[in-house]
Amino acid sequence: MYCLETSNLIHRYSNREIALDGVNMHVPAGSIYGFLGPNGAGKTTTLRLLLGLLKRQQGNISIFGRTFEQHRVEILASVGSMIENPSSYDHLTASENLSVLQRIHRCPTPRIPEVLALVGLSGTQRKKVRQFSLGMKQRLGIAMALLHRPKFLILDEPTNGLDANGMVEIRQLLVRLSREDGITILLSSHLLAEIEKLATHVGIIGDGRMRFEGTMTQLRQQQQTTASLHVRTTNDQRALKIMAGIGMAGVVDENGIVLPAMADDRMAAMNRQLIDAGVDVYSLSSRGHDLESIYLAMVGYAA
Amino acid sequence: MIAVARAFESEWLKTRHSLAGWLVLGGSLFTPLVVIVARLVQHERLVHINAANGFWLSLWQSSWQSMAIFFLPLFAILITSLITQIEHRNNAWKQVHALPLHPSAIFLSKLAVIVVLIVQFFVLFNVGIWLSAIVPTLLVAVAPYPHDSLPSARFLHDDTMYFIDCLPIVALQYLLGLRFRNFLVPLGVGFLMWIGALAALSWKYGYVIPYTYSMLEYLKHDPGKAIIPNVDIHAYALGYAVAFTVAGYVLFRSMKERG
Repeated sequence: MYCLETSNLIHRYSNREIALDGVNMHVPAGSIYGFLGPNGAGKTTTLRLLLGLLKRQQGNISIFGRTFEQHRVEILASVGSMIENPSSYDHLTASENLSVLQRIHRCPTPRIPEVLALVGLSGTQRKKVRQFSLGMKQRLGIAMALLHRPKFLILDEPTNGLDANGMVEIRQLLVRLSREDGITILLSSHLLAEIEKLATHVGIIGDGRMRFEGTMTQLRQQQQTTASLHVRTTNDQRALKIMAGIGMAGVVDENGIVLPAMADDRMAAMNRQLIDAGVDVYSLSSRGHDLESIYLAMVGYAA
Repeated sequence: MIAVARAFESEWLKTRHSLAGWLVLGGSLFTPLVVIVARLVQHERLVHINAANGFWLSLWQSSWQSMAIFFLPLFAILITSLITQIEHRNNAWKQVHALPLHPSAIFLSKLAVIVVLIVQFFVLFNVGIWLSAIVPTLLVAVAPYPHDSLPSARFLHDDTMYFIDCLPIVALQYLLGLRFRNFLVPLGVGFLMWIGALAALSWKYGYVIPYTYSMLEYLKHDPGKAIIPNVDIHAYALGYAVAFTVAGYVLFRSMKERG
């Protein structure tokens, strides 16, 4: 069952430029869904549409199996969010900021120190938010999103402004929330490394289009199918013929011969054949074998 | 209604540590403080002033002079801009719109906070007027307590009329404050409208300007300084207030981008 489903989500800016071009998203209940894409790809626009912060132009949004427009208030009662920069009131303290939301959500008052402890802000007491660092504001934003024990958490670049320790802490917190409380988490990032460390599912967006959607395992499988072996020799044409003789099909490009990725023992056998036939091998290298290059290829950058 | 009450509680919390409290205090007590200081400086006249018939009405009228012309319209402009700016300044509209509240609850609760702050302003001003009569009497031993009885029904009536008269200012400033992120826009329009209202007092159709009503209400006792229209200005004030509130809500609902 999906916690969130969008179909053919299209959004145009006022200058008619397309921001989202038929985005279909499927976030399974209980998953940590990494929404990945470079800056300007359409991540924040998508998240803003999901929360009703932008008027939907075309397509459908369904959260908890219900259409957003018709059940907006009930849906938002079970959704926690932090979009772009945290929205806290600078002239109030962290607990006063949480009290502002507690009045709306009607959650018990002891929940306020509880979430502050959860994000590591217990010691801020009388300190006004205007005196907070960016990292502290980010933590407060996450606390505000968690206050009412939401079933679905939408976080836009939640580790922005955090130091390395803070990033690890927040990552651990999100994994714990997902495992122990069964919260579905949708988090956006432009950093693959971050998503790779905690997501169970991933959606990759580039230029307003979904380039990939599936589990992390499926993404890693793409790794195998898209990887290639690059060989540079003294005589590429002769080398191609030798390779064909042992059942390996390759093509020549400006950098040498390109072959599909293969197991190490086959690579060694091919190398031996070439040397035995008098073709010297300058280099043998695997390319596109890491997730980073698959991701970059998907979003339209050269790997 | 429950949602509006919950949203009001939340909105009221946001005014903590803000300038709103100081603005209410300073704006409402400035004139009474000036009266106290003036009476203490001229304490030799206090015996005569306190013994006069119509003491309270005279004090009431003189206190409302600066209030009706100057402090009340400007307070309405400033407090409305201040409350709407809380969300803009903190980039918090997106948080507010992602709360499980109907847009009408968001709109009405914020407006209710402004109205309650204005009521506080009126209450404090009334207390201030009373103090401006009593404090000099307590400090100057020879001055008697005013023997004239306090015309509380008249005060309540005038307060109600002045309150109604400032509602169109609140409603228009609220519309502008919600619509424009840059605080200079609502403040600039507010000041221009106030100056325009002052200039229009001697124009026979001046009453069509929605910022004139508290001034006209006061100046009807001093008709030489303004052309007092032969229309019910309070009905005009209420009409404008309702029209601006409805327009404000329609604009608020139709915003393509919320925060």
